[in-house]
Amino acid sequence: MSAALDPEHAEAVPRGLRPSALLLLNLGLLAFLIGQRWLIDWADQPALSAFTTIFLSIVLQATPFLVLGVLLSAAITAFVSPSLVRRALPRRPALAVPVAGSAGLVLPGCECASVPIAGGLMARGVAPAAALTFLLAAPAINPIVLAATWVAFPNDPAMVWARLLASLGAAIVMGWLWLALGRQEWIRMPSRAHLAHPNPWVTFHRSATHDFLHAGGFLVVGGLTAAAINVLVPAQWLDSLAGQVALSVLVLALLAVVMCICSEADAFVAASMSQFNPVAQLAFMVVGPMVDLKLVAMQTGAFGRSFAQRFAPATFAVAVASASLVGWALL
Amino acid sequence: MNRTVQGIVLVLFGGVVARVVLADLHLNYVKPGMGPALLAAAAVLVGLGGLALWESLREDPQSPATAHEAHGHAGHGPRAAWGLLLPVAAVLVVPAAPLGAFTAERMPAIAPVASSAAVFPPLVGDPADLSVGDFVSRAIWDDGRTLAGQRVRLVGFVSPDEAGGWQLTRLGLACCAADAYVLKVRAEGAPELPADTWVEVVGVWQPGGDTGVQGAIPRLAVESAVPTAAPANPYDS
Repeated sequence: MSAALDPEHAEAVPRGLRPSALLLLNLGLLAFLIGQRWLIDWADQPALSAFTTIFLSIVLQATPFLVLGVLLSAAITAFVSPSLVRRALPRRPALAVPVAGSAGLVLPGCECASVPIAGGLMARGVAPAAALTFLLAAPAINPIVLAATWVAFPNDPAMVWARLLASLGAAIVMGWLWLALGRQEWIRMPSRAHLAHPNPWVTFHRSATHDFLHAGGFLVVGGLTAAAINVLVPAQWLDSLAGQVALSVLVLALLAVVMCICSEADAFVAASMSQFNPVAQLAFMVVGPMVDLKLVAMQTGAFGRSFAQRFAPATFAVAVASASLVGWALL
Repeated sequence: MNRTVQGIVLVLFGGVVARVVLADLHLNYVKPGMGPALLAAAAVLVGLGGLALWESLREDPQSPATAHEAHGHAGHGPRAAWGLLLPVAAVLVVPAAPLGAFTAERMPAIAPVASSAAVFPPLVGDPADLSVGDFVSRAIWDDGRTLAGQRVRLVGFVSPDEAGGWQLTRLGLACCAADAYVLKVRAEGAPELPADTWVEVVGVWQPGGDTGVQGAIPRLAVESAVPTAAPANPYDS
């Protein structure tokens, strides 16, 4: 887990000018205590009450899954060496791509964790195409995500298979596309700065803490957006979009890019948009873990801008095509 | 965000999750079965946060190693983590409330689909206690056969009917409150009641409505409608 890879950590402001985080927290608590009375009155309206309930329900429902994912991902970061993973891969990149994609089935990691893991794999000599396939596949098809999808669509088990096939297919196609068209100079090779510590338990603790804070923060943003859409957008307007299959697929795919929901949680949000047809819900879950605003930012930080501005749009197109194809066949 | 604040945020978030479950408030948001998983997650988060706090207290801020670490950003958590304080604030400030008439009015009614009539056993008792979901399923998918002439007792809340009067309403959860579905029964001959009032209604199913159609709203001839306390689990189960 590399903190230096993350653009959010690259703060250029001199330390002396930055208010300390503890001070900010205290000021926030003070403002909160003063404003509490006023906030309670403000929240006592049906729309705001519904907004809060939906927001908290998304956060609460996702939390156990997020914790499980973060613990497993931290365990891998701390206890499984990437060189072990590299030895497991075939030498020929064209073969390594599907193997790396399938590795996502057993190596859980939410998308926030998979960016640095992919960077680490590349730095240790894994072919970029295979590392990129892993980057796309791991957050989308790992066991926790598939279990969450199964729980979120209790009456529609085909959704789990569709998600697995569409995501794995898109990830493998992207790997092969990179082999055929990709250029080495587009990628800025990641450095090996990381949270690692000689004691693997310290690495475990730091990775888990960092991953949960990061992923949880973005989950909150996703929950707010979803709750706002639920309460503010008239149901009829979404319903009219939901009626048109092709348009609704594109609408939910774009929504997935904007909402930045963690893959462990996105199935519940997709299930909540039940007025959309299943193919559009599938597109939401296939695109979300591969391309969203926070991921593009993280990829830019890890691999450079010239990489991200090519990789992200191509992934979006491939993911939408794959979801449409698989959804049309299976759902 | 330094390690101390990271620890505080994790402990606050985990603590609030635990508080919500221990006070049974999670029934407003998720299915009852999520309780143990939420408690386990809360314990892990409080543990992670506590360890981070302990680590930050043990560190001497003046030591060169710590200064170097802070400078090298290793001690900084992600800025996105501030967002985790929002649900903490929401739980502490906004009184927990289930979704109600506001949501019910904005969504079409549905009838939980039953595979065959064989799953509808005869009603027991007079009046027979039924969940709103069970009543709607029997009315729509069983042509009301098991309901004909039977007095039933339903518990739900009042949501205004566009056609006048009100509908006895209950929301159901597929997964969590973000994907709630709406169950409605038209309460015919009932006294006027304000929206979101929880009521215990006794009445008899009225034939003549649509059956076998998703989204149809069954009718109930109301004998009595008594305001009652909100049930522990506000959603249909």
